[in-house]
Amino acid sequence: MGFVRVHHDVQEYEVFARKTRLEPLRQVGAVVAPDDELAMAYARATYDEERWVEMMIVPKAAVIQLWAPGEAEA
Amino acid sequence: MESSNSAAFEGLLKRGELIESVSEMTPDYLRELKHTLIVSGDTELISAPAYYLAARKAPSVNAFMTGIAIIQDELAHAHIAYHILEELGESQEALIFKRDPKAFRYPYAFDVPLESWTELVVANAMYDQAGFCLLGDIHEQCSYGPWKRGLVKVMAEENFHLRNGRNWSKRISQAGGAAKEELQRAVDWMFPLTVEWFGLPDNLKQHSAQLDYRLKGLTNDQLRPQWLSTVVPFMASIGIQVPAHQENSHYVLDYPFPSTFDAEAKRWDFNDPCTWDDVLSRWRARGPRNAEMVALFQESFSKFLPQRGREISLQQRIWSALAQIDDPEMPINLVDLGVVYGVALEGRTVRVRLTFTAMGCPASDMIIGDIRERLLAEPGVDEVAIDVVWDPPWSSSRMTVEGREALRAWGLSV
Amino acid sequence: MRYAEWCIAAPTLEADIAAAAMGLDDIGHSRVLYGSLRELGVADVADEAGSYANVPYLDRPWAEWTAFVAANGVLDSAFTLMIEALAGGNVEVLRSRLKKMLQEERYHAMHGRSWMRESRAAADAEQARRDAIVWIGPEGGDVDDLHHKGILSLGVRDIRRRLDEQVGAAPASPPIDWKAWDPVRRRISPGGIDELTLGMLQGLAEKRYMPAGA
Repeated sequence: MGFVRVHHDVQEYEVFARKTRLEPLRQVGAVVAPDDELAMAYARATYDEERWVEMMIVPKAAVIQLWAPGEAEA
Repeated sequence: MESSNSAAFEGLLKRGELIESVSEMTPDYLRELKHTLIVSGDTELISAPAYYLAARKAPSVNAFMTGIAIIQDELAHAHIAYHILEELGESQEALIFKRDPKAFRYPYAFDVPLESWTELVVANAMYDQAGFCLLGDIHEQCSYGPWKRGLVKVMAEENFHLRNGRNWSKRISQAGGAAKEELQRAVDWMFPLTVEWFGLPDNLKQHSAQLDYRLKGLTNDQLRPQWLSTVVPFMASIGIQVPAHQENSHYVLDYPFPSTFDAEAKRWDFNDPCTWDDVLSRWRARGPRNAEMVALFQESFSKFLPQRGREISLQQRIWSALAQIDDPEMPINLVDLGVVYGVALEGRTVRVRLTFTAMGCPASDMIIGDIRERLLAEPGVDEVAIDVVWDPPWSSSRMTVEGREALRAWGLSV
Repeated sequence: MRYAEWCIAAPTLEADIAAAAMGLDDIGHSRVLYGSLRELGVADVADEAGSYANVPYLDRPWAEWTAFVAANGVLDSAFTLMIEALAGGNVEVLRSRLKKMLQEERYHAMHGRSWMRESRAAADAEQARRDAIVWIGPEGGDVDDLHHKGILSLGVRDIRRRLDEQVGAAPASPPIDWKAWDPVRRRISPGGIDELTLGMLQGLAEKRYMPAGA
């Protein structure tokens, strides 16, 4: 079931960032927001533990999983 | 089939591997994990109003900023725990904004008001040290992958809180005079409260499933000395007395543990030892600031809610209507099955984003018909538009905990 | 500092965190701006409630989340426009230094405008908008002078128009009485920030933690 906030409809976004130009992007967390703008503001405020050189968010609904832990290990 | 899932779970746990999703857990593990996350989330969350009310007494903008930065961290840490709970099927909104103040699970110490900048920095030096010991243990041991990864950020930031507490305590002690006396008074009541933070001695404690499940690694009697071994020497180094001393390699309390505490007067009576039952009933009754702090958090949420009244209630009515529609082939409703991807309102039209468990789902027309019929019966709905989507594809991980349990009870392995 | 006051009182946990973060950003920005002032030879920074040139909307703590939202949407949009005008002007010190500030302020205004779409904040937004217009000042006043000298890349008219584009045009509201306008404090109404905030800004209580005789 979808996440609930005071807003009338929200979705989850995955947050990706990297510390240096050398390293690849990694998943640093997630935020829940009613629109892209608020999700951007939240990602920036919530995951400020590093001076990231790059940060981006992706709606979770746009992520396509090929397999999950356990499915390819057997 | 249930037993093979449970054997796979035991295997992962034994090999020291991480559990990554609900489908890999047993119901008992899920329950213990949620409980541990709630205690952690509540503790971080409630530290925010406790610290904020003291940060208002900051002596300068710089000091205030440090206080706010610490509060921001604590809130972000609470967010990590609550968001994981949300992924596990709990409602973050209900946990934070709709719970009774007495239902929050955090250390009693936060219920005793921090009323000055001095008390705030002592809290940073002692309470955050306790949090550091407890979370450090979880971070090291934790068998649940998403939480273990989330704690990396937490540990780094808690370290900053400790440094702030220590730097300021030292500075205040060096100022001497009335400032140092105030610092000593704060340590006098806060030190024993933090010792209590680690809970009952091991011999009085029931068997801990948290240890079996590797949700933590150390017992109360192992964590408490860890805390003492950092706080006692530090306080000595800045000329502040604490009721504990070192004997050989370990630390000993100089007062009967537990003792009686007067929360209003912030005073311990070391001549009046009490039982752990007395302590537990003090904890359960919660302390002076419990209701006030939770109210601060919840007030604007409940004020804001009526503004969104129509949308929320219709939105919620639609979700609960969808939860009344069962899959034609299995005893599970569409919401628990995880095939409803979203509901949007456009005036009096409801748009439902829907998927099916398989592209060739023979029951798809029947399900669409059921949804249309049921939603048109809701007041305020004139039209129902159903968008069938295949991206992202459905998988069993989209089922709720309740749905999974319903199917297990029915005899299906999920 | 008003934002920070909402870090434990917003209607979602995410907004609590954002309120704390934006409060911290803004205090940081004020340091950059005061620092630039000193570099430009203005030593005299405000020291009493009656000498801060703040928007009156910020004088007192807000009682409602809608007031926060309006400030965040309207005042941050107005403030961002002024910073854009400075960054686009010909004062070299500012041009380079304001880039990061602009980036951060844009996130503030985004946060505010998104919440405004969700809230009934119209009354608060109108008050904030009026205070912002007064703070920017009258057409043909000092801001336009600076614009003509190239110090600001935007004039009063441009700023107002862009503000309307971003937060919606104002409904008919009573005209502003520019004769009563104080060009230094950039306001018409009297008043100033509250005692508690002032005390913190001046670090009055810090003496308590200084070693005796220091």
